[in-house]
Amino acid sequence: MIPIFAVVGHPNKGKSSIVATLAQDDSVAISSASGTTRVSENLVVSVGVSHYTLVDTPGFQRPASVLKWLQQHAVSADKRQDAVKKFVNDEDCKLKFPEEVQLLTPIINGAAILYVVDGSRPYGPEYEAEMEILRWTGQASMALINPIENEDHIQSWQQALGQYFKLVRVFNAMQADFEKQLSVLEAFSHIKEQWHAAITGLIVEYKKIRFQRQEESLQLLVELLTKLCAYQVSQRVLSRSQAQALQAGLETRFLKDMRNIEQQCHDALKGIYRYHNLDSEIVDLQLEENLFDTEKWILWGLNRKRLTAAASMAGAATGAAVDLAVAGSSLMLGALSGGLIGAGSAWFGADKIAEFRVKGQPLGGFEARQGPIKNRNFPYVVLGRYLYLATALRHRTHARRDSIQIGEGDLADRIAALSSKEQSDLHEALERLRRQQGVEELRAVLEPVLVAAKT
Amino acid sequence: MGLMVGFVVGYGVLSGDSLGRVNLLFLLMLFAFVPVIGLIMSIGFIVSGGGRGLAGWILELPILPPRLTVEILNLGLSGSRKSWLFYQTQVLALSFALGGLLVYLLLLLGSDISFVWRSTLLEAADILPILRVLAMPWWFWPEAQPGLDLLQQTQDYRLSSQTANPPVLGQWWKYIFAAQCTYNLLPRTLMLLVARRRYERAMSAPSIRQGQGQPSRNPLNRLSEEAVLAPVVDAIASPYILLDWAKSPDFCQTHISSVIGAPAEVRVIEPLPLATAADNAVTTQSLLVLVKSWEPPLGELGDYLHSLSGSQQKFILPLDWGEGAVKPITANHLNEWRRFCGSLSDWQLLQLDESP
Repeated sequence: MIPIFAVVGHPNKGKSSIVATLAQDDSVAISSASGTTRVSENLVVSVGVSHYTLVDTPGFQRPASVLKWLQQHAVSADKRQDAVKKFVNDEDCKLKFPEEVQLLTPIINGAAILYVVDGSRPYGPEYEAEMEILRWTGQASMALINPIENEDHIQSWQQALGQYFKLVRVFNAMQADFEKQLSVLEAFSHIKEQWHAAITGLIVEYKKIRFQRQEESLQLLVELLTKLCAYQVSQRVLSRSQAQALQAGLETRFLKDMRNIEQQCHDALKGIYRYHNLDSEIVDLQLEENLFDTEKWILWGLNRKRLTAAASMAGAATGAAVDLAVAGSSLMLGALSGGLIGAGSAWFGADKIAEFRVKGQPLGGFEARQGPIKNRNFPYVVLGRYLYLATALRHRTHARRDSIQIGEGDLADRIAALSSKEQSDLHEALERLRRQQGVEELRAVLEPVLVAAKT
Repeated sequence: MGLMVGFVVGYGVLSGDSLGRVNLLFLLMLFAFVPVIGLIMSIGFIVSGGGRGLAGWILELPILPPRLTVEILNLGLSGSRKSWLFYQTQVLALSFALGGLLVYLLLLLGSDISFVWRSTLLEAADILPILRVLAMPWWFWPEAQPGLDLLQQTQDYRLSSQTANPPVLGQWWKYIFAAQCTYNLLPRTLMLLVARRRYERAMSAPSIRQGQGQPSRNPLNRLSEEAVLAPVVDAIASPYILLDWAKSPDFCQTHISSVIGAPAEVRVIEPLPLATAADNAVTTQSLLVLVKSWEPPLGELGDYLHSLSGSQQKFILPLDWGEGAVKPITANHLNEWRRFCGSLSDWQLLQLDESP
């Protein structure tokens, strides 16, 4: 059985915000104009293997008239639910009270009620008609006090709502953290017994998703740091002068690519937290100057040093095979001499190899290269900006429509909060990244600082 | 690379001396003992969750072009780099095993390999139990099992070379082949499958994409965004009747009186019953409907306003208050009421001008 919740209330009291927050979906339309929602809309939220439905409904428009109609059609308390059923199916009512028919239909069809009020404004008796109508439906219900501007009137609302609803919770759609969101679901599992198993399953899935989000954002951070720290653009040409002429173009391309990589990663992070319409602003990465370099390459892009090392190892390996064949009776002289011969040939013959042509193409040339970044602080800047965004997303709800200004945050404090070993591992890993060396345990190294950033 | 190295090393070992003799024990070390040690290390890596394998060490060597180094760095990113390196190590090891096996089969086909063994201290009877233990996994292949006779016939002394029966020296090929398959090829294939599974698991991002029940927003739910904003007036023709829809506290009426003068009459209005023609006919005085600015205009208010069909001047006054005093109305609320008033034909929106 899939739980269904109809979010109902006065117009413009944050119903759509509640839906957006609970569904963790920022595509839910939220308007400052009342009456924007005219027909009920179902939002099926799939959490792992579990599902539930939130129904965003229009606000009450004529509660007093509707209550009067219902009172005329129910002579006793046992007939009230039938009267509401009759109301939603009555053609005349559909014309006169379209909003109420829209909002009551899912409830009559079995949806539980989430009644939303604004706790920043005083309670008024004009709400009593709609609360009474909801009571007549006989469905499980919970009232959510959404303190839109302040919490000045929560108490008076609690006193009033307590007379109509079994459960009353304060739920700020703009600030409700993950635990608060789960607590609403959890509360419902107690008042609607037949949904208990389904809601418990939902809560388990939500908790799994939270963990998975952390894992995925960690992976994304690993990718971002590795890519940005190693990123370079290069082009091979025949002469050094040709290579130097490429400097301006490569610098522009490098800067643009670096920005794109970071932006794409930040967008992906937003996607992990299901923000698809969230704008963010970020100061451009400050990249050091003089990253341009030209270098002679010889074979397969190897410079003289690397070619010598490769040839030396190839020679040594060949020699070692000979040593093996004679069962070591050569005292490993094969490996030693093979290595020396390989290294010497490569070092002294490099220039000749470079000039050698295959099908008219030389085996060597020059490479113009921009990047990678050498500044020691660079990985920290990238890390700080990512953690800033991750923290902001973590503490944000999907009802908010403002943009995020991404800064470098308080990375130093966060690192300082780690254990000395974690700090040391982090510094070492970032230094290795800066030197374009792989870090096998990068996920494990970054996890503490990411987790610390989220608490 | 693994295949090539395996081929070269295999050839180096199997080509033997000038007479084509290959040391059997040496072969076993290469094709059974070393792979088993490597396998134990690999399993240890899996159990401990650490290590990056041989591939990790090779990638650290300064023999790759810088561009390729960067590409390799990025290549392992989609999954765990460690599991990727471990996977690559298994690929390398299996390729090595295949290279060795390939050259072995080629040499068996195209050459005469003489398997001999030499030892100063050990006799055939000493070695046999070890060889039998090694041969246990292929007990079902009798031709590949070691025997004392064969061992004795293939013991070699370099000073007294030339065996009486050369074909006997080649009979070890099945044993060596089975050892290669059992201790090198098969386990490495299994390890490759395990490593691949680990890598794929690490690579597959957790499925956190919640089923997007993305609502296709119904066009009906956007209509009010296009509403017209009514102008705001700050004066009302006196005398006027104050219709208190908001059931406001007394200080609100006092405040209104102080700004625009006292009303001729004050009526507290309920949503029901709607005003009748008789109610409306009692006066031609201006009507001022007082509403709570923070409560959006409901249909019930609209119904009531429509019921007041007289030709007199009609105003709506949204008012905000709290803590015993009237407060300035917020821009959001004012716009809400301007939209509402804009949808009515003969109603004006009043705001109190409190400037002296």
